[in-house]
Amino acid sequence: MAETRYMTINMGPQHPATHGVLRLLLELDGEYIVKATPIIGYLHRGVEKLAEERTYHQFIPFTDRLDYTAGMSNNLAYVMAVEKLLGIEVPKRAQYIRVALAEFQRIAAHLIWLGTHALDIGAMTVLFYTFRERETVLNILEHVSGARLTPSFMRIGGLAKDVPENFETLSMDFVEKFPEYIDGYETLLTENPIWLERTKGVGVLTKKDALNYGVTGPTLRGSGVKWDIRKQFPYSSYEDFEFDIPTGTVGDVYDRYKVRIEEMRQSNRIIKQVITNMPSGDIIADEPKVSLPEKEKVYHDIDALIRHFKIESAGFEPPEGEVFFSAENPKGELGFYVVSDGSNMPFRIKIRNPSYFNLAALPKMVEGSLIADVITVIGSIDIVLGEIDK
Amino acid sequence: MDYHEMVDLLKEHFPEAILDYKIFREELTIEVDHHYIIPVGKFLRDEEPFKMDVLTDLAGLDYGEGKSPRFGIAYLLTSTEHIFRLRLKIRFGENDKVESVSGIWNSANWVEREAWEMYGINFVNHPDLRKLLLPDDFNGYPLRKDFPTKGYDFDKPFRV
Repeated sequence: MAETRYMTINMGPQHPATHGVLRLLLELDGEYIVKATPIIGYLHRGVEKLAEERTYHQFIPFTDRLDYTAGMSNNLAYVMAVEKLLGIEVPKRAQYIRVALAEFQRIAAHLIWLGTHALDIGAMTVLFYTFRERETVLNILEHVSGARLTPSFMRIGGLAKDVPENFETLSMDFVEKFPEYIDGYETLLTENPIWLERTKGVGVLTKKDALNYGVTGPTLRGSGVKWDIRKQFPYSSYEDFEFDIPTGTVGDVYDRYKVRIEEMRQSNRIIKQVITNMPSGDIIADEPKVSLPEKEKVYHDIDALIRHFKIESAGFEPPEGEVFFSAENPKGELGFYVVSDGSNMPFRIKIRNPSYFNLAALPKMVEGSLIADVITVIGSIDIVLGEIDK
Repeated sequence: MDYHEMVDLLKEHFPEAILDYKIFREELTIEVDHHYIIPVGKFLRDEEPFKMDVLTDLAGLDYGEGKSPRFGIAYLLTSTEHIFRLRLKIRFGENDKVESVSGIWNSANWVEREAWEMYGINFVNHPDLRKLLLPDDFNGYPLRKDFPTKGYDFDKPFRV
Protein backbone atom coordinates (compact mmCIF):
# COMPACT_ATOMS: atom_id res chain seq x y z
CA MET A 1 0.00 0.00 0.00
CA ALA A 2 1.36 3.35 -0.97
CA GLU A 3 1.93 5.63 1.93
CA THR A 4 3.36 9.13 2.05
CA ARG A 5 6.17 9.51 4.49
CA TYR A 6 8.16 12.64 4.99
CA MET A 7 11.82 12.74 5.76
CA THR A 8 12.92 14.88 8.67
CA ILE A 9 16.34 16.42 8.57
CA ASN A 10 18.14 18.66 10.96
CA MET A 11 19.84 21.86 9.87
CA GLY A 12 22.17 23.52 12.30
CA PRO A 13 22.90 24.60 15.01
CA GLN A 14 26.45 24.59 13.63
CA HIS A 15 25.71 25.48 10.06
CA PRO A 16 27.58 28.33 8.39
CA ALA A 17 24.52 29.60 6.54
CA THR A 18 22.22 29.89 9.55
CA HIS A 19 24.04 33.03 10.73
CA GLY A 20 24.59 31.78 14.25
CA VAL A 21 23.34 28.95 16.38
CA LEU A 22 19.96 28.47 14.76
CA ARG A 23 18.61 24.96 14.39
CA LEU A 24 15.89 24.12 11.92
CA LEU A 25 13.91 20.91 11.82
CA LEU A 26 12.87 20.40 8.21
CA GLU A 27 10.19 17.98 7.15
CA LEU A 28 10.78 17.14 3.51
CA ASP A 29 8.77 15.74 0.69
CA GLY A 30 11.64 14.99 -1.68
CA GLU A 31 13.36 18.33 -2.13
CA TYR A 32 10.40 20.36 -0.95
CA ILE A 33 9.74 21.70 2.53
CA VAL A 34 6.52 20.53 4.15
CA LYS A 35 7.19 22.09 7.49
CA ALA A 36 10.05 23.98 9.08
CA THR A 37 10.41 24.36 12.82
CA PRO A 38 13.01 26.77 14.18
CA ILE A 39 14.62 25.76 17.45
CA ILE A 40 16.32 28.58 19.28
CA GLY A 41 17.75 29.37 22.69
CA TYR A 42 21.32 28.10 22.32
CA LEU A 43 22.62 31.56 23.14
CA HIS A 44 20.17 32.41 25.92
CA ARG A 45 21.82 34.52 28.62
CA GLY A 46 18.81 35.78 30.51
CA VAL A 47 19.46 39.42 29.77
CA GLU A 48 16.01 40.46 30.98
CA LYS A 49 16.59 38.80 34.34
CA LEU A 50 20.04 40.35 34.66
CA ALA A 51 18.52 43.78 34.05
CA GLU A 52 16.38 43.45 37.15
CA GLU A 53 19.35 43.55 39.47
CA ARG A 54 21.32 46.32 37.83
CA THR A 55 20.94 50.07 37.82
CA TYR A 56 19.72 51.70 34.65
CA HIS A 57 23.21 52.74 33.58
CA GLN A 58 24.69 49.33 34.20
CA PHE A 59 22.38 47.75 31.65
CA ILE A 60 23.78 49.73 28.70
CA PRO A 61 26.67 47.29 27.92
CA PHE A 62 24.19 44.40 27.77
CA THR A 63 22.34 46.07 24.93
CA ASP A 64 25.50 46.04 22.78
CA ARG A 65 25.46 42.30 22.96
CA LEU A 66 21.93 41.82 21.68
CA ASP A 67 22.31 42.52 18.00
CA TYR A 68 26.09 42.56 17.90
CA THR A 69 26.20 43.98 14.39
CA ALA A 70 24.43 47.14 15.55
CA GLY A 71 25.69 48.13 18.98
CA MET A 72 25.09 51.86 18.58
CA SER A 73 21.49 51.40 17.47
CA ASN A 74 20.78 49.13 20.44
CA ASN A 75 22.29 51.67 22.83
CA LEU A 76 20.11 54.35 21.31
CA ALA A 77 16.87 52.40 21.71
CA TYR A 78 17.61 51.58 25.34
CA VAL A 79 18.77 54.99 26.54
CA MET A 80 15.85 56.65 24.82
CA ALA A 81 13.44 54.28 26.58
CA VAL A 82 14.90 55.30 29.94
CA GLU A 83 14.88 58.96 28.95
CA LYS A 84 11.21 58.64 28.10
CA LEU A 85 10.58 57.09 31.51
CA LEU A 86 12.42 59.96 33.18
CA GLY A 87 10.87 62.54 30.89
CA ILE A 88 14.11 64.30 30.04
CA GLU A 89 15.03 66.14 26.88
CA VAL A 90 18.42 65.54 25.27
CA PRO A 91 20.39 68.49 23.79
CA LYS A 92 20.09 68.94 20.05
CA ARG A 93 23.76 68.26 19.34
CA ALA A 94 23.60 64.92 21.15
CA GLN A 95 20.47 64.00 19.20
CA TYR A 96 22.17 64.75 15.89
CA ILE A 97 25.31 62.82 16.78
CA ARG A 98 23.14 59.89 17.85
CA VAL A 99 21.40 59.90 14.49
CA ALA A 100 24.72 60.00 12.62
CA LEU A 101 26.11 57.09 14.66
CA ALA A 102 22.93 55.03 14.34
CA GLU A 103 22.90 55.54 10.58
CA PHE A 104 26.57 54.61 10.29
CA GLN A 105 25.75 51.51 12.25
CA ARG A 106 22.86 50.75 9.91
CA ILE A 107 25.21 50.97 6.94
CA ALA A 108 27.72 48.67 8.67
CA ALA A 109 24.99 46.17 9.55
CA HIS A 110 23.52 46.20 6.05
CA LEU A 111 26.97 45.72 4.55
CA ILE A 112 27.60 42.63 6.66
CA TRP A 113 24.15 41.39 5.64
CA LEU A 114 24.77 41.97 1.94
CA GLY A 115 28.15 40.26 1.98
CA THR A 116 27.01 37.16 3.84
CA HIS A 117 23.66 36.93 2.06
CA ALA A 118 25.38 36.96 -1.32
CA LEU A 119 27.97 34.49 -0.06
CA ASP A 120 25.21 32.10 1.03
CA ILE A 121 23.72 32.14 -2.43
CA GLY A 122 27.09 31.68 -4.08
CA ALA A 123 28.18 35.17 -5.09
CA MET A 124 31.43 35.29 -3.19
CA THR A 125 32.92 38.47 -4.65
CA VAL A 126 30.45 40.82 -2.97
CA LEU A 127 31.73 39.96 0.49
CA PHE A 128 35.19 41.38 -0.19
CA TYR A 129 33.82 44.70 -1.40
CA THR A 130 31.27 45.14 1.39
CA PHE A 131 33.81 44.34 4.08
CA ARG A 132 36.14 46.94 2.63
CA GLU A 133 33.53 49.68 3.19
CA ARG A 134 32.43 48.20 6.48
CA GLU A 135 36.00 48.59 7.68
CA THR A 136 35.88 52.33 6.94
CA VAL A 137 32.60 52.69 8.83
CA LEU A 138 33.88 50.69 11.78
CA ASN A 139 37.04 52.80 11.85
CA ILE A 140 34.90 55.91 12.16
CA LEU A 141 32.81 54.33 14.93
CA GLU A 142 35.99 53.17 16.66
CA HIS A 143 37.44 56.63 16.37
CA VAL A 144 34.37 58.03 18.10
CA SER A 145 33.66 55.43 20.76
CA GLY A 146 36.87 53.43 21.11
CA ALA A 147 35.25 50.12 20.18
CA ARG A 148 34.36 48.42 16.95
CA LEU A 149 31.74 45.94 18.06
CA THR A 150 30.48 46.91 21.51
CA PRO A 151 30.57 50.70 21.74
CA SER A 152 28.43 51.38 24.87
CA PHE A 153 28.79 54.97 23.78
CA MET A 154 25.37 56.38 24.61
CA ARG A 155 24.55 57.53 28.11
CA ILE A 156 21.20 58.21 29.69
CA GLY A 157 20.75 61.89 28.94
CA GLY A 158 23.25 62.13 26.10
CA LEU A 159 26.59 60.74 25.04
CA ALA A 160 29.74 59.54 26.80
CA LYS A 161 31.78 62.30 25.15
CA ASP A 162 31.78 64.61 22.19
CA VAL A 163 32.88 63.35 18.80
CA PRO A 164 36.54 63.99 17.87
CA GLU A 165 37.40 67.05 15.79
CA ASN A 166 37.98 65.24 12.52
CA PHE A 167 34.72 63.27 12.76
CA GLU A 168 33.06 65.56 10.26
CA THR A 169 35.79 65.31 7.64
CA LEU A 170 36.05 61.55 8.07
CA SER A 171 32.29 61.16 7.70
CA MET A 172 32.08 63.47 4.73
CA ASP A 173 34.89 61.58 2.97
CA PHE A 174 32.95 58.38 3.36
CA VAL A 175 29.55 59.85 2.51
CA GLU A 176 30.84 61.33 -0.74
CA LYS A 177 32.29 58.07 -1.95
CA PHE A 178 29.75 55.57 -0.67
CA PRO A 179 26.93 55.91 -3.28
CA GLU A 180 29.42 54.90 -5.95
CA TYR A 181 30.29 51.77 -4.00
CA ILE A 182 26.61 50.85 -3.68
CA ASP A 183 26.32 51.12 -7.46
CA GLY A 184 29.26 48.75 -7.59
CA TYR A 185 27.46 46.12 -5.48
CA GLU A 186 24.41 46.53 -7.63
CA THR A 187 26.32 45.83 -10.84
CA LEU A 188 27.37 42.54 -9.28
CA LEU A 189 23.87 41.49 -8.20
CA THR A 190 20.79 43.47 -9.21
CA GLU A 191 20.61 42.31 -12.81
CA ASN A 192 22.68 39.18 -12.45
CA PRO A 193 20.63 36.30 -13.96
CA ILE A 194 21.79 33.79 -11.34
CA TRP A 195 20.90 36.20 -8.54
CA LEU A 196 17.47 36.85 -10.04
CA GLU A 197 16.85 33.13 -10.46
CA ARG A 198 17.70 32.47 -6.85
CA THR A 199 15.82 35.38 -5.28
CA LYS A 200 12.76 36.31 -7.39
CA GLY A 201 9.56 34.73 -6.18
CA VAL A 202 11.35 32.95 -3.34
CA GLY A 203 10.25 33.19 0.28
CA VAL A 204 7.18 35.28 -0.40
CA LEU A 205 5.53 36.92 2.58
CA THR A 206 2.28 38.72 1.82
CA LYS A 207 1.38 42.06 3.33
CA LYS A 208 -1.35 40.52 5.47
CA ASP A 209 0.88 37.76 6.81
CA ALA A 210 3.71 40.19 7.47
CA LEU A 211 1.50 42.29 9.74
CA ASN A 212 -0.08 39.25 11.35
CA TYR A 213 3.33 37.82 12.24
CA GLY A 214 4.51 41.16 13.63
CA VAL A 215 7.39 41.30 11.19
CA THR A 216 9.19 44.66 11.12
CA GLY A 217 12.02 46.48 9.40
CA PRO A 218 13.14 45.79 5.84
CA THR A 219 11.31 42.46 5.91
CA LEU A 220 7.99 44.24 6.45
CA ARG A 221 8.80 46.97 3.96
CA GLY A 222 9.77 44.35 1.39
CA SER A 223 6.20 43.08 1.67
CA GLY A 224 4.93 46.49 0.68
CA VAL A 225 4.01 48.08 4.00
CA LYS A 226 5.31 51.63 4.30
CA TRP A 227 6.16 51.44 7.97
CA ASP A 228 9.28 52.92 9.48
CA ILE A 229 9.49 53.98 13.13
CA ARG A 230 11.75 56.88 12.12
CA LYS A 231 8.84 58.34 10.14
CA GLN A 232 5.82 57.04 12.03
CA PHE A 233 6.97 57.86 15.56
CA PRO A 234 9.97 60.17 15.01
CA TYR A 235 12.61 60.20 17.72
CA SER A 236 15.99 61.86 18.22
CA SER A 237 15.24 64.62 15.66
CA TYR A 238 14.60 62.28 12.73
CA GLU A 239 11.82 64.65 11.71
CA ASP A 240 14.52 67.22 10.77
CA PHE A 241 15.94 65.09 8.00
CA GLU A 242 14.67 64.23 4.57
CA PHE A 243 14.68 60.59 3.57
CA ASP A 244 12.47 58.13 1.75
CA ILE A 245 11.14 54.78 2.86
CA PRO A 246 11.78 52.21 0.15
CA THR A 247 9.17 49.46 -0.16
CA GLY A 248 8.81 46.29 -2.20
CA THR A 249 5.76 44.94 -3.97
CA VAL A 250 5.83 41.14 -3.94
CA GLY A 251 7.50 40.45 -0.60
CA ASP A 252 10.07 38.00 -1.92
CA VAL A 253 13.80 37.77 -1.22
CA TYR A 254 14.60 40.09 -4.11
CA ASP A 255 12.31 42.82 -2.76
CA ARG A 256 13.95 42.67 0.64
CA TYR A 257 17.33 42.89 -1.08
CA LYS A 258 16.25 45.99 -3.01
CA VAL A 259 14.82 47.61 0.12
CA ARG A 260 18.04 47.18 2.09
CA ILE A 261 20.21 48.44 -0.76
CA GLU A 262 18.05 51.55 -1.00
CA GLU A 263 18.13 51.97 2.78
CA MET A 264 21.89 52.28 2.66
CA ARG A 265 21.52 55.15 0.19
CA GLN A 266 18.96 56.81 2.46
CA SER A 267 21.19 56.38 5.52
CA ASN A 268 23.98 57.98 3.56
CA ARG A 269 21.68 60.87 2.77
CA ILE A 270 20.74 61.29 6.43
CA ILE A 271 24.37 61.32 7.58
CA LYS A 272 25.14 64.01 5.02
CA GLN A 273 22.33 66.19 6.38
CA VAL A 274 23.39 65.59 9.97
CA ILE A 275 26.98 66.59 9.31
CA THR A 276 26.10 69.74 7.34
CA ASN A 277 23.55 70.91 9.93
CA MET A 278 25.38 69.83 13.07
CA PRO A 279 24.43 72.22 15.88
CA SER A 280 26.88 73.18 18.59
CA GLY A 281 26.20 72.87 22.29
CA ASP A 282 26.16 70.30 25.06
CA ILE A 283 26.28 66.58 24.45
CA ILE A 284 24.55 65.56 27.66
CA ALA A 285 21.40 66.86 29.34
CA ASP A 286 21.76 69.18 32.31
CA GLU A 287 20.14 66.78 34.78
CA PRO A 288 22.49 66.52 37.77
CA LYS A 289 20.65 63.52 39.24
CA VAL A 290 20.71 61.48 36.05
CA SER A 291 23.45 62.46 33.62
CA LEU A 292 27.10 61.73 34.23
CA PRO A 293 29.56 64.64 34.51
CA GLU A 294 32.23 65.15 31.87
CA LYS A 295 34.90 62.50 32.32
CA GLU A 296 37.76 65.03 32.27
CA LYS A 297 36.19 66.92 35.19
CA VAL A 298 35.93 63.76 37.28
CA TYR A 299 39.73 63.68 37.57
CA HIS A 300 40.13 67.29 38.71
CA ASP A 301 36.91 68.42 40.33
CA ILE A 302 35.66 66.96 43.63
CA ASP A 303 32.02 67.82 42.95
CA ALA A 304 32.11 66.06 39.61
CA LEU A 305 33.81 63.07 41.22
CA ILE A 306 31.11 62.78 43.89
CA ARG A 307 28.37 63.10 41.31
CA HIS A 308 29.99 60.50 39.09
CA PHE A 309 30.37 58.10 42.00
CA LYS A 310 26.82 58.63 43.19
CA ILE A 311 25.28 58.03 39.77
CA GLU A 312 27.46 55.04 38.97
CA SER A 313 26.95 53.29 42.29
CA ALA A 314 23.50 54.20 43.58
CA GLY A 315 21.99 55.23 40.26
CA PHE A 316 18.87 57.31 40.06
CA GLU A 317 15.25 56.66 40.87
CA PRO A 318 12.79 57.24 38.04
CA PRO A 319 9.10 57.78 38.80
CA GLU A 320 6.81 54.79 39.06
CA GLY A 321 5.36 53.88 35.70
CA GLU A 322 5.85 51.98 32.49
CA VAL A 323 6.96 53.04 29.04
CA PHE A 324 7.62 51.41 25.72
CA PHE A 325 10.08 52.93 23.34
CA SER A 326 11.16 51.49 20.05
CA ALA A 327 13.68 52.51 17.44
CA GLU A 328 14.14 51.50 13.83
CA ASN A 329 17.16 49.22 13.95
CA PRO A 330 18.87 47.66 10.93
CA LYS A 331 16.93 44.45 11.61
CA GLY A 332 13.59 46.01 12.43
CA GLU A 333 11.86 47.54 15.38
CA LEU A 334 13.87 47.16 18.57
CA GLY A 335 11.76 48.11 21.56
CA PHE A 336 12.27 48.25 25.29
CA TYR A 337 9.32 47.94 27.63
CA VAL A 338 10.59 49.36 30.91
CA VAL A 339 8.57 49.08 34.11
CA SER A 340 9.75 51.09 37.07
CA ASP A 341 8.61 50.63 40.67
CA GLY A 342 10.37 53.80 41.77
CA SER A 343 13.60 52.12 42.87
CA ASN A 344 17.02 52.51 41.28
CA MET A 345 16.74 49.24 39.36
CA PRO A 346 14.16 48.39 36.70
CA PHE A 347 11.28 46.24 37.89
CA ARG A 348 11.01 44.62 34.49
CA ILE A 349 12.62 45.11 31.11
CA LYS A 350 11.09 43.33 28.15
CA ILE A 351 13.07 43.48 24.96
CA ARG A 352 11.07 43.52 21.75
CA ASN A 353 13.72 41.96 19.55
CA PRO A 354 13.07 42.36 15.82
CA SER A 355 14.96 39.28 14.58
CA TYR A 356 12.86 37.09 16.88
CA PHE A 357 9.58 38.13 15.28
CA ASN A 358 11.08 37.97 11.80
CA LEU A 359 12.34 34.45 12.42
CA ALA A 360 8.91 33.39 13.71
CA ALA A 361 7.60 34.08 10.20
CA LEU A 362 10.28 31.89 8.57
CA PRO A 363 8.18 28.66 8.53
CA LYS A 364 5.49 30.55 6.63
CA MET A 365 8.00 31.87 4.09
CA VAL A 366 9.70 28.56 3.31
CA GLU A 367 6.58 26.38 3.19
CA GLY A 368 6.53 24.53 -0.11
CA SER A 369 9.87 25.83 -1.32
CA LEU A 370 13.06 23.97 -2.11
CA ILE A 371 15.53 23.09 0.59
CA ALA A 372 18.20 25.30 -1.01
CA ASP A 373 15.85 28.27 -0.73
CA VAL A 374 15.80 28.01 3.06
CA ILE A 375 19.34 29.37 3.08
CA THR A 376 18.29 32.23 0.82
CA VAL A 377 15.32 33.12 2.99
CA ILE A 378 17.33 33.03 6.24
CA GLY A 379 19.82 35.38 4.64
CA SER A 380 17.07 37.70 3.48
CA ILE A 381 15.42 38.18 6.88
CA ASP A 382 18.83 39.10 8.32
CA ILE A 383 18.72 37.51 11.75
CA VAL A 384 21.22 37.77 14.58
CA LEU A 385 20.94 35.01 17.13
CA GLY A 386 22.42 37.08 19.93
CA GLU A 387 19.29 39.14 19.79
CA ILE A 388 16.80 36.32 19.27
CA ASP A 389 18.05 34.32 22.24
CA LYS A 390 18.44 37.32 24.53
CA MET B 1 -9.93 60.62 18.76
CA ASP B 2 -8.09 61.06 22.01
CA TYR B 3 -7.31 58.44 24.60
CA HIS B 4 -10.20 59.29 26.93
CA GLU B 5 -12.75 58.93 24.16
CA MET B 6 -11.25 55.59 23.17
CA VAL B 7 -11.59 54.29 26.69
CA ASP B 8 -15.19 55.54 26.85
CA LEU B 9 -15.97 53.73 23.63
CA LEU B 10 -14.48 50.51 24.97
CA LYS B 11 -16.40 50.91 28.22
CA GLU B 12 -19.60 51.26 26.25
CA HIS B 13 -19.01 47.92 24.53
CA PHE B 14 -17.48 46.06 27.45
CA PRO B 15 -18.84 47.56 30.66
CA GLU B 16 -17.55 44.74 32.89
CA ALA B 17 -14.22 44.15 31.16
CA ILE B 18 -12.56 47.54 31.38
CA LEU B 19 -11.28 47.94 34.93
CA ASP B 20 -9.04 50.96 34.85
CA TYR B 21 -6.84 53.04 32.59
CA LYS B 22 -3.74 55.15 32.92
CA ILE B 23 -1.95 57.66 30.74
CA PHE B 24 1.74 57.98 31.46
CA ARG B 25 4.24 59.73 29.14
CA GLU B 26 1.54 59.91 26.49
CA GLU B 27 1.05 56.15 26.53
CA LEU B 28 -2.33 54.63 27.21
CA THR B 29 -2.56 51.52 29.38
CA ILE B 30 -5.96 49.90 29.75
CA GLU B 31 -6.47 47.31 32.44
CA VAL B 32 -8.81 44.55 31.31
CA ASP B 33 -10.40 41.66 33.18
CA HIS B 34 -8.46 38.59 32.01
CA HIS B 35 -11.65 36.67 31.16
CA TYR B 36 -12.48 39.20 28.46
CA ILE B 37 -9.14 39.38 26.65
CA ILE B 38 -10.38 37.53 23.54
CA PRO B 39 -13.50 39.63 22.82
CA VAL B 40 -11.67 42.87 23.65
CA GLY B 41 -8.73 41.85 21.47
CA LYS B 42 -10.97 40.95 18.53
CA PHE B 43 -12.87 44.20 18.89
CA LEU B 44 -9.66 46.24 18.93
CA ARG B 45 -8.32 44.44 15.89
CA ASP B 46 -11.42 44.72 13.72
CA GLU B 47 -13.35 47.83 14.69
CA GLU B 48 -12.86 51.50 13.97
CA PRO B 49 -11.32 53.69 15.28
CA PHE B 50 -8.81 51.17 16.58
CA LYS B 51 -7.82 48.66 13.86
CA MET B 52 -4.91 47.38 15.94
CA ASP B 53 -3.57 45.03 13.31
CA VAL B 54 -0.21 44.29 14.92
CA LEU B 55 0.63 42.81 18.28
CA THR B 56 4.02 44.43 18.68
CA ASP B 57 4.96 42.81 21.95
CA LEU B 58 3.67 40.76 24.82
CA ALA B 59 5.37 40.89 28.20
CA GLY B 60 4.77 38.64 31.18
CA LEU B 61 4.94 40.31 34.58
CA ASP B 62 5.45 38.99 38.08
CA TYR B 63 4.60 41.33 40.92
CA GLY B 64 6.18 39.08 43.52
CA GLU B 65 5.03 36.51 46.04
CA GLY B 66 2.20 37.62 48.27
CA LYS B 67 0.85 40.13 45.79
CA SER B 68 -2.68 39.48 44.71
CA PRO B 69 -3.13 38.92 41.86
CA ARG B 70 0.47 37.96 41.41
CA PHE B 71 0.93 37.79 37.63
CA GLY B 72 0.18 39.99 34.70
CA ILE B 73 0.55 40.31 30.97
CA ALA B 74 1.03 43.51 29.01
CA TYR B 75 -0.03 43.40 25.36
CA LEU B 76 1.35 46.20 23.22
CA LEU B 77 -0.84 46.81 20.19
CA THR B 78 -0.09 48.93 17.16
CA SER B 79 -2.39 50.24 14.50
CA THR B 80 -0.54 50.66 11.22
CA GLU B 81 -3.61 52.30 9.73
CA HIS B 82 -4.13 55.02 12.33
CA ILE B 83 -0.50 55.12 13.56
CA PHE B 84 -0.91 54.85 17.28
CA ARG B 85 -0.31 52.39 20.07
CA LEU B 86 -1.99 51.24 23.23
CA ARG B 87 -1.28 48.73 25.91
CA LEU B 88 -3.70 46.21 27.38
CA LYS B 89 -2.92 44.82 30.76
CA ILE B 90 -4.41 41.86 32.55
CA ARG B 91 -3.79 40.60 36.09
CA PHE B 92 -4.39 37.06 37.34
CA GLY B 93 -3.31 34.58 39.98
CA GLU B 94 -0.96 31.62 39.71
CA ASN B 95 -3.68 29.04 39.03
CA ASP B 96 -5.76 31.11 36.64
CA LYS B 97 -5.87 30.17 32.99
CA VAL B 98 -5.38 32.78 30.30
CA GLU B 99 -6.76 32.51 26.77
CA SER B 100 -4.09 32.64 24.11
CA VAL B 101 -4.40 35.56 21.70
CA SER B 102 -2.41 33.79 18.99
CA GLY B 103 -5.67 33.18 17.14
CA ILE B 104 -6.11 36.93 16.81
CA TRP B 105 -2.51 37.96 16.17
CA ASN B 106 -0.11 35.29 14.96
CA SER B 107 2.86 37.10 16.44
CA ALA B 108 1.65 36.10 19.91
CA ASN B 109 2.71 32.51 19.27
CA TRP B 110 6.38 32.75 20.30
CA VAL B 111 6.00 35.46 22.91
CA GLU B 112 3.34 33.43 24.69
CA ARG B 113 5.58 30.38 24.66
CA GLU B 114 8.22 32.55 26.25
CA ALA B 115 5.84 33.91 28.89
CA TRP B 116 4.78 30.34 29.65
CA GLU B 117 8.31 29.03 30.18
CA MET B 118 9.60 32.11 31.99
CA TYR B 119 6.65 32.75 34.31
CA GLY B 120 4.59 29.57 34.27
CA ILE B 121 1.52 31.36 32.93
CA ASN B 122 -1.11 28.80 31.89
CA PHE B 123 -2.24 29.56 28.38
CA VAL B 124 -5.23 27.74 26.94
CA ASN B 125 -5.91 27.20 23.22
CA HIS B 126 -2.30 27.86 22.30
CA PRO B 127 -1.39 25.91 19.13
CA ASP B 128 2.13 24.89 20.11
CA LEU B 129 3.01 25.34 23.77
CA ARG B 130 6.61 24.11 24.05
CA LYS B 131 9.78 25.52 25.58
CA LEU B 132 11.31 28.16 23.37
CA LEU B 133 14.49 29.64 24.83
CA LEU B 134 15.08 27.21 27.68
CA PRO B 135 16.23 23.59 27.42
CA ASP B 136 13.41 21.03 27.45
CA ASP B 137 14.46 19.55 30.81
CA PHE B 138 14.74 22.87 32.62
CA ASN B 139 12.84 23.14 35.90
CA GLY B 140 11.62 26.40 37.35
CA TYR B 141 10.46 29.73 36.00
CA PRO B 142 13.48 32.02 35.62
CA LEU B 143 11.79 35.40 35.35
CA ARG B 144 9.71 34.98 38.49
CA LYS B 145 10.83 37.28 41.26
CA ASP B 146 11.62 34.40 43.61
CA PHE B 147 14.01 32.74 41.13
CA PRO B 148 17.62 33.35 42.18
CA THR B 149 19.91 35.20 39.81
CA LYS B 150 23.05 33.55 41.11
CA GLY B 151 22.00 30.04 40.06
CA TYR B 152 20.43 27.11 41.85
CA ASP B 153 21.44 26.23 45.40
CA PHE B 154 23.95 29.03 45.43
CA ASP B 155 23.67 29.53 49.18
CA LYS B 156 24.00 25.84 50.04
CA PRO B 157 27.37 24.16 50.62
CA PHE B 158 28.80 22.30 47.68
CA ARG B 159 29.12 18.55 48.24
CA VAL B 160 31.49 16.32 46.30
